[in-house]
Order: sequence, then C-alpha cells, then structure tokens
Amino acid sequence: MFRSLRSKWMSLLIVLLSLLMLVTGYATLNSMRASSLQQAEAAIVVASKVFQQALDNRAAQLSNSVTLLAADFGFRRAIATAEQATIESVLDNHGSRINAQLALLLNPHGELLASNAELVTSDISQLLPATLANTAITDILLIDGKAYQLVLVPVRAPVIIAWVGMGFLVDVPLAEQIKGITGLDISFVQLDNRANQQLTSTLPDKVQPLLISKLERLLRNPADTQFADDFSFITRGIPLDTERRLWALLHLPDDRWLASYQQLRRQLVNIFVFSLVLSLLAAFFFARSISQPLSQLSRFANAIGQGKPGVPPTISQDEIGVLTSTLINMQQDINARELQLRQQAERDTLTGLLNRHAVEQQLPAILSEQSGTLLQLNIIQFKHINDTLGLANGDTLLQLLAQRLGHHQPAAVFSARLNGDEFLMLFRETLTELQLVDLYNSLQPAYNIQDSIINLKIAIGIYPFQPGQGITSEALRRVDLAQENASLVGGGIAFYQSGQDETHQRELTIIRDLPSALNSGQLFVVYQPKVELASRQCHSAEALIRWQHPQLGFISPVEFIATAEHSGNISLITQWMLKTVIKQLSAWQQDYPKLRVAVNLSAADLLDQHLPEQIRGLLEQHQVPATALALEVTESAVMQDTSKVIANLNTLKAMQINLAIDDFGTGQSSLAYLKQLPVDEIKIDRAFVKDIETNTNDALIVNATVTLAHGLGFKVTAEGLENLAGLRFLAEAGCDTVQGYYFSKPLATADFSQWLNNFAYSNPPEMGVKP
Amino acid sequence: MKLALWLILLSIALTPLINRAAAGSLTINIINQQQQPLADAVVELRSPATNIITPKNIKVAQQQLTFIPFVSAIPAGSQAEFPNLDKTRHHIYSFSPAKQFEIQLYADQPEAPIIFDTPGIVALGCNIHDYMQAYIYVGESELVAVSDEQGNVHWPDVPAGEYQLYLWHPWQLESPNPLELPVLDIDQTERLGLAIDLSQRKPIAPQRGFGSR
Repeated sequence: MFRSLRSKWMSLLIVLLSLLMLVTGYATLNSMRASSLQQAEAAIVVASKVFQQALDNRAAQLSNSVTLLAADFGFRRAIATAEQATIESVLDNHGSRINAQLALLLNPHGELLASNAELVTSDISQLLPATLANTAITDILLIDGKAYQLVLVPVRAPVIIAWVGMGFLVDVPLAEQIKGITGLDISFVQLDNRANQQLTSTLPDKVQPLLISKLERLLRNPADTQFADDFSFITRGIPLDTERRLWALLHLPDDRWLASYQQLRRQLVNIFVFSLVLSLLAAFFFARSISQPLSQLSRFANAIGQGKPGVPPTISQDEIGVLTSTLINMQQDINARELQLRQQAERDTLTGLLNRHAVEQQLPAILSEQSGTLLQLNIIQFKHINDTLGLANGDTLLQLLAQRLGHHQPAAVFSARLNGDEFLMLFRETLTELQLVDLYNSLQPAYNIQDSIINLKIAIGIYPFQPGQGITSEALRRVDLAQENASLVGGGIAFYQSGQDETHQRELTIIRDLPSALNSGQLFVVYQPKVELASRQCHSAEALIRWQHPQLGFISPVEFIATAEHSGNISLITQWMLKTVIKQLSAWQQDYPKLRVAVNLSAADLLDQHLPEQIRGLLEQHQVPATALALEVTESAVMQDTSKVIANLNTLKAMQINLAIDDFGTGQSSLAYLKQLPVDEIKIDRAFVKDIETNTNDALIVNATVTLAHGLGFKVTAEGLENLAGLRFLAEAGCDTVQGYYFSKPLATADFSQWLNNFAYSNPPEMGVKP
Repeated sequence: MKLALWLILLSIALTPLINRAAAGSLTINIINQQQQPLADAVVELRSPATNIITPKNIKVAQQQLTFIPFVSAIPAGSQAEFPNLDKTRHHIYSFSPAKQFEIQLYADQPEAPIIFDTPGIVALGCNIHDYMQAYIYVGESELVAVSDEQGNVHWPDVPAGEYQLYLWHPWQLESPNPLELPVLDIDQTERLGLAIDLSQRKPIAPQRGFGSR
C-alpha cells in the first residue's frame, strides 16, 4: 500500500497534519470553551453583583421609607396608645402609604403586637436577635410561603417603644425590575419547599419546566456557576436571606457563547480541510518532483546496465542532481573501461594488431557486403628463427613485421595476427598482381634484430572474394590453404585455387574418420608375396593396408597414410598394422613356420624410442618369433634424424628382426649412411623395375644397385615385377627376391594362404628362368 | 446573665441592712461593671412603714438642644417645669405609661408645670429634636435621688426603719424597670454595682447641618 514514495509522503503528511490539527483544534476549542465559560462566568458574576446592588439599593430605599414612617409623630403617638385596633389600622394605613404588602409591629422585646397578615411570633423569630442592635434591619423572609424583603425599624419615643416592620414581596415585578438593569433572567426559588416548588421567574414560560427539572441539580450547589448542557442558560444562585433558604437564580443565555464556539469550530474544520487539501497537493507535487527524476534515473541506470546510450535527466541542483551526475560519470567510466576491454579482447598483446577473435567478429559483415582480398602471411621456418634467436627476439621480429604490415600502402582494412607467425590482412579492393608483389617486396628487406640482420622468407596466401561469397570459416580456410601452398614451395605468393578446398575437406574427413575406421573393420591388411628367385619358393610377404570407406569408397593408402603422417596419426596405423600382422603371423605359425611378413614403418615411427619394446611385447604376447617379422623403412625416413633412427634400428636388429630399406633409389639419401644402416635387405623401387625389360638405364641401375647391395652384404628385393620379361632381367641382375603382380597382387589373408598352398605345390611353368 | 450574677454576688458581699436602728446620713456609691463611678443612676429607698411624701418642684431645662439634667428623680406627686433656654422652640412629649403629656411648640416657659403623680419612669423626648432624651424617675418614696458624677447618692438624714432599695439607670442591661434589690441594712456608706450598656452616651446636640442626627 505504501510502496511508492509518493504514497508514503502523503500518508505521513496526512497523519502528521491530522494529529497536529486534532491537537490544535482540541486545545483551541478547549481554551475557547474555557475562555467562553470564563467570560460567561465573569459576566454572570458581574450580573450577580449588580443584582445584589440592586437588591441592596431597594433595601435602602425601603429602609428609608420605613424609617421615615417610624419617625412620624402621629404614628408614634398612635402606637403609644397601645390600642390594638388603632395600631392595626395605623399599620394598614402607613403600610399602604409605602406600598408594603406586609406590615407588622413588635414590642421592644421583639414580640408580635400586630400584623396585617396571619402571623405568629415564630414566623419572625429569626428577627429577634437583630432587635438588640437598635437599628434598622433588612432581610428577606419567607412568611406564609412567600418571600418578603422585610425592613424592621425601631420606633423611638424617644426610647424604643416598638419595632415596625414593612415587607415587600420578592416576585416577578421585582425580578423584571432587576432584569431591566442586568439584562439577565431571574428566578426565585426556595430551598425548603422543593416538593411544591412555585417558580418565580422571568424566564419564558416554555423554558420554565425545563428549569424546574434542573432545579434539583442546580440547588445542590446554588452558589456555583452552573452549565447545563441542554438548558441553554448559565445559572448562578445568590442567597437572599441570612439563612440561605431563599435563592435568586440568575440566568445568562449561553447561546452567544455557544454560537461563537461553534463558529470557531466550523472555522477550524474549514481550515483543517483547506490545509489538508493544500498539503496533499503540495505533497503530491513534491513527491512527484522526487519520484519522477528517480524513475528517470532508474531508466537511465537500466540503460547503462544494458549498454545503451540512455537519456540522463537534466541535472538539478539537489541531491538527485548529484546522483544524476554520478550516474553520468559512471556511464562514461563504464564506456571507457568497456572500450579498453574490447580493445584488449580484440588486440593481440604482442603486436597491437587485431587477434583471431576480432577477425572472426569483424569478418562476416565485410564478407557479406563487399568484395576484397584476404591475405594470410607467415614466416617460413619461423620456429627455426625462434630457436636460433631466442623467443624474445622472435617476438621483436614479429613486432617489426607487424609494423611493416601496418604501414603498408594501400592501407589494409585491418591487419591481424592469427597465431604464432601467421598474419592476416584484409583489403577492400581486389589487389592487382603488381600491388601484391609490391607488398611482398616491402616485406623482404632485412630486419634488424639487436644488430643482427635477419632475412625472412615470407609465404603469402591470397584469397580474393566477392560480396556474399562464403562464410568466414571457409574464407579463412581458403586463404590458409593458399598460404600453405605458398609455404610448401618455400615462400612467395600463392592464390587460392578452386578445388583446393575440396581436397582439404577430404583430408579432414580422412583424419576424422581414421581412428574409428581402425576399430570398425573398414581397414584391413593384404599380403603380397615375395618370391625367392633361387629356390623359387615364397617364404616372405609384405603386409599392405587397405581402407574401404563407407562414403569415400576405396582410399588409396598413399593418400591416407600421407594425411595421417601430416596429422600425426601415423603411429595409430603402424600400431594397428603391427598388432594385426603379428596376430596373423601367430595364426600362420602352424602352417607356415618359415613365413616372414614385412610391415612398413614411417619416419615418425622410427623416431619413437618405445617402438622396439612395443614390438617385443606384441611378439611375446602372440608367441611369434622375431625372425617372422620384417620391417621396411624408407630412405627419407632414415634421413630425418639419422642417429636416433639408427639407434632404434640397431635395437630392432638386435632383436633379430629383419630390416629392409624400402623404395630404394628414390630418396635423396647419401650412400654414406647406407653402410651405417643395420639393415638386411634393400628393396629396389618399382620405378626402376616395372619397365626394366625395355629401359636399359633401369636395367643398369638395378644391376649396379644389386652389385652395390650385395657388396655391402644386403639382400636385394625388386618390387613391381609385372611380366616374365622383367623377371629374366632381374634374375640376371642377381636380385634375391621379387615382388609384384607377375606373381601375385596383394591378397587378403585367406586368399594369401590359398595362394601359398598353390604356389608351393605347383611350380608355375612361366617361371622358366633359373638362377 | 453574667452581669446579673455579678450584681448578685456583689450584693451578697455587701452586708444587707435589714433594720436601720437610728436615723443618720446615708451615702450610696454606684459603680458600673468596670468599677467606674456611675452617674445618672437612680436609687430609691422604699419603706413600707413610712409613706409620707413631700412633693418636689424640679426643672428640666432645655439648654443647647439637650435636656438638663439627663436624669431626674422625684417622688410621686411632684411637679416639673420645662424651661426652654434655647432660642429654638421645643415640643416635649412623653408616651410613658407613668405620665403621658405633650407640650406643643413653645419657647421660654410652658404655661404650666407638669405634675407626675404616678410612680414610674417617664421618658422625655422632643418631637423636633429626635435625639433629645431625658428621664424622670417618679418614685413611690421620698427617698429617691440621682447619683452624681462620682456615682454618689447622699441623704443627710435617713430615718430609722426598714427599706427596700431600688436601683435604676437608663442604660441598664437588665429589664428597663428598676431593680429591686434585697432588703439592705445600710450603714452610712454603701457601694452598689450596676451593669450598663457602656456604648451609650448622653445625648448632645449634633453639629449644625443636615445629615446630622
């Protein structure tokens, strides 16, 4: 309910204001009421004094009249006669002279002598003590249920011979008379006659019954000022007689006090309502003046969070303004830091060029919209340079190269370092051949690294592209292929040729599928027999690998072995071959105990120090004698790391494994190494054999090689014999064993067994040449 | 009551005289409750035996708007003259039961003296001057006198015999009637106490001017 700032503000204000107003109103009304009552009481007190004064004045007047009467000689003389009838008539006569309703005569001792009313002494007994004073007495008496203002005066002749008393009714005319002076209504009541209360009052007739109903309460403390709630008069009593039995009640109408009180109350309510409305309006606008900028700020902060520009509220002078400028500063700081981060993320820390990530970010948009040229450069044999100069200098070299790329004109859209020594450049235009040569040349001048002059061989791959052509990864792969091609030829510039990409794809597929193919039976081994010319028997064979790919079909071993060597997977194939062949040899041990099968090793295999142990393990595992296994290595493989390879070969040789050099004559091997190699056999490459019957050069080479090999103590095998004519030449040359289609193509395991059996029992007639 | 008690005690203290064995002078000293001499007190000695009265002639003058003397005492049958020594006229009256009379406006000497033949106390007033007051004590006995300023009443020669003593003063607190004291055996001088209203003063003429009383 009070979730918004505005409603909180307004609620707080309403509560505070209401409290304030209630307290103020209560206090004001209370004091107003008290003040009104006080004024009313003051007024009624003044009125009661006036009333008392009026009563005293009347008493004095009456007293004077009676005193004059008492001094009248005739009156005194008549009283002195002591004749009852005379006295009574004198009282009547003189009483009526001064309008007295009551006349009485007492003897000097206060005993009643005569009266015009039916009186007994006890009625006036309260006057007796006063007669001792010898002076005029005024009091108000209740005589016969009526209130009289009585004046008692001594009659002197010259001693006091009597007391004459004259009484005047205390009644409505008197009250009216006094009301004329004070303006207040007056009621006369008697305390000792409540049961039969005869009210004497100037109050309107209709009010009188109300007063009578209130009398009981009023008369409890008649001298106090009384405020009756439903009786619209404020009343105060004044005792009239000395015995306080007779009271005059003064009535002050309270309507004017009430009216001003009610008016004030109305005004207070109006003021309250007015100020409440005013305050609510003020609170509403004030809260809005705070909450609106706050919600603007909130939106602005959200925008900052989402990295949008956002519109900051105008900066005011208050705390909100401070917050606003803080947020704006924060936004600027965030933007600056974000820029820095982005740059860090996009830049290569070494060269300051873009990195691969940035290239992958930016390239798609460019590729899809425009044509241009993508260049990928690398340094030929950078690893060698790094090894020679040290990593730090290698880094410096990369920085220098990057500088040249960066300063090249026409400027590239961007230059990037992809990794290591690979750089990428993007040009908007399709570069001409001249421009490319210019670029290539600009990279040629020597680089000065710590006073060493370094010349670099740079390979540049070029991939021109058209708008909407290809996707980023494809473009990068294509330019990479082009650069690879340039690298392969030892530097220079190579354009991407269409189709290169597809070759590449095939290679990728082969690399990807090879490991699973090894286990799923796609790969299998075939055996090509090697026939000993001298004995015309077959005691050895070469194991060859075949791959029937479910999608690609038959894959040439040349292709996938090269690919496997390239991708570093060749050891997988070698391991598989060794395991398969040795396992097969184990199976064949029973039937063909003299059979020796050769397995090809690659250069990488020869560098593996663990290879001999692995072979030993396999042989032992399958209980195959080492002499049943032969290994064939190429010249080029031996040339990789001669000492290491020779050490490995020595170990294998020591294990009594037959070693042969494959494809002899095609490698660029030095003959000097040949004598060091611990091999048993040389296999002359098919290139010299397949046309030997027609090509005399081949025949010469074969003859010389056989002579050389035999001289060094090696046996010689000729590969690729295809016809009988060739066989004769080989026999003449002195080859020990021959391998080729003339005898048999490579055969699957079962076929090979079959062939062996057939060949053993039937010397084919076509073998007409004798050693 | 207290004053009365005091009076009785005082009376008891005095030795009551029942019989006066031989004739001789008698002086009675009257004091008030403050032991001060009381003037204008009337003492009457009544003897049931001897009832021979020799009337007197007295004068109660009006001088400087007052009666002089304030109190007079005479045996019954005496007469009084009321000479007016003032320039103004006076209207002397009495409504007392002992003697009611009225001498209407007169100057100098009224036409005839007034005879007071009934024992009692006569209060005199003047209808013109209300404050004027005087008293004439009309006694049954010849032995009646007013105390002087020293409070003394003196008879040079009082016959032997039994007497009833009466004491009266216009301001006395008890009954306005003469106090009848127990029979006293008086020997030459005696002292009697009487309580009076001490606030009372002898009437004198007010200052000239209206508003005076």
